[in-house]
Amino acid sequence: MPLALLARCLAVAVVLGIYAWSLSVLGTQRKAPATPELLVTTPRVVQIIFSAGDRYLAANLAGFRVLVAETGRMTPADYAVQAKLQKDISWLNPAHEDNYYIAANILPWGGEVDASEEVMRLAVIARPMDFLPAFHVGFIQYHFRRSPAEGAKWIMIAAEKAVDPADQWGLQTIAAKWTELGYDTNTAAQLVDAMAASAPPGGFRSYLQQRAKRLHSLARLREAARLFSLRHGGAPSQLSDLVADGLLPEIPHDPIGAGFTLTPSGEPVFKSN
Amino acid sequence: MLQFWISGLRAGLRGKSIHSVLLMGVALLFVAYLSGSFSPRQPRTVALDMGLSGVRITLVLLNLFWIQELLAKEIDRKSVLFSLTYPVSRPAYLLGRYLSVLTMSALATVVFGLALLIAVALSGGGYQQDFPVNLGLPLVATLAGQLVDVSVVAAFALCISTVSSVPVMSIATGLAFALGGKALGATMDYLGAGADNDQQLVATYGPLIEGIRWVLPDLSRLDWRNWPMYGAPLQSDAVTASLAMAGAYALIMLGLASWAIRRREFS
Repeated sequence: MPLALLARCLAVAVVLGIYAWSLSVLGTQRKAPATPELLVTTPRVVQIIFSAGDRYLAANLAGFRVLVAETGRMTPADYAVQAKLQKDISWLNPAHEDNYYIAANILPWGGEVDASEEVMRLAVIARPMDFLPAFHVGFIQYHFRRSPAEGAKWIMIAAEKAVDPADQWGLQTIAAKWTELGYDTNTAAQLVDAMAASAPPGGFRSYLQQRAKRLHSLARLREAARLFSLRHGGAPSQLSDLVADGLLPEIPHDPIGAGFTLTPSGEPVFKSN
Repeated sequence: MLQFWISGLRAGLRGKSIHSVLLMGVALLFVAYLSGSFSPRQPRTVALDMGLSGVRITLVLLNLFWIQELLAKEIDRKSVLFSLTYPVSRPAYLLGRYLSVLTMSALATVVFGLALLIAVALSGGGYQQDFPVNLGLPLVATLAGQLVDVSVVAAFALCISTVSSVPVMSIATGLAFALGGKALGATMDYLGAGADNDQQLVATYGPLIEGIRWVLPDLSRLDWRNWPMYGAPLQSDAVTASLAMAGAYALIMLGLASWAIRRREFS
């Protein structure tokens, strides 16, 4: 009898030991990066079949995958997969508000400008009551394609869709500024600041805030480079020249870590990451 | 016919599998409520969207189980012979059963519609969407569209039951029909837009889908959720044509079922 009891206690101790060991191993393992959430994309028709033939359900299921991805740790390959997913969602349900919102605020910063614009243009048609998709197409034209005139055209389309007179006035002012002054990094940074301010609190907002911060830094570098050229009659050969000349206290820190560099003509730009 | 309608209602509300599907419907609506919290901009729209998908799946399953319970199993167990001893025609028996399923389907739509209303109202907490969902007439119209949609599925399953010797056949083919009919519109869109530049796919499946669309109704045409979700108004001519398509298809199925049951030997 005591032997049987001992055997039972031993069995319980072994099982508890295995459980404790498994937990300790799992506790030391790092959380998997964003890649697995986005890696697999299935053809559109397959997505519909897996959703009981319901394209809206397929759009939502793909949308949840996009929403749970950690934007802060995405690689270019992740951005490419997310772009495909978001184009799929846009095709399944072009009026999906979360989809166009994320496509506007994340995809172009990861180099997926065409995909972002495609999602946005479909949303412009599918959401006649919403001025934001047209605004984002305008911003893509202005900032990512460096086409202020085309951007202003889209901002005027957004102004026509806006219901609130204050929104209409604000959009018309932006369009007039872009048409008159052309592209300006500081203006782009201010707009991204405004987008971040209107974003829900959390990782998504801080993602946009980082983008705005590095645009402000780039704007400061460009202004310093302009003053340098006026002072010396030629462009700086390296960024440290701007610090040495007293135009900047230090080279600004890039919040996403890629840093800044000069083009051959001496214009400060982002280093590609 | 009236007695078949009433007995159908009784039998339909008794089945254990039906109770399971009803519970599944409630679970799907709870999932819809939870799914709203994933959305940063439109929690109520997402909850409504997911909920409508859940209601459609539940209604399809309920209709198929009802058809199986009220007709396919009766035929399989030969208990249909007791029903047919009444001095009424076989098509009247069939129609009575179909009307029972339609009635229970309408009741289920009302119940799930109310549950969906509560789930959507509770989702999103205090967040005010820029574009609120419309839970009035647009939602009622959308649910009515889903009811018409599943009525066509039920008519198809009924027709299969009259010719099949295996009760589960009506569920299996009914599910395939519900999925195919719902996916047909999107598939035609996909092929029509060039299938991501896959010319071979278009060449292979284009003619096939072009043929299928004449025998399989495009049930996605009865999905009007863009109205409550995005305020996109319905186009009256498209709605009329969709309802005519659904009604005519259901009548054809009922006609075929009546023809088949008249000629079927049960002994």
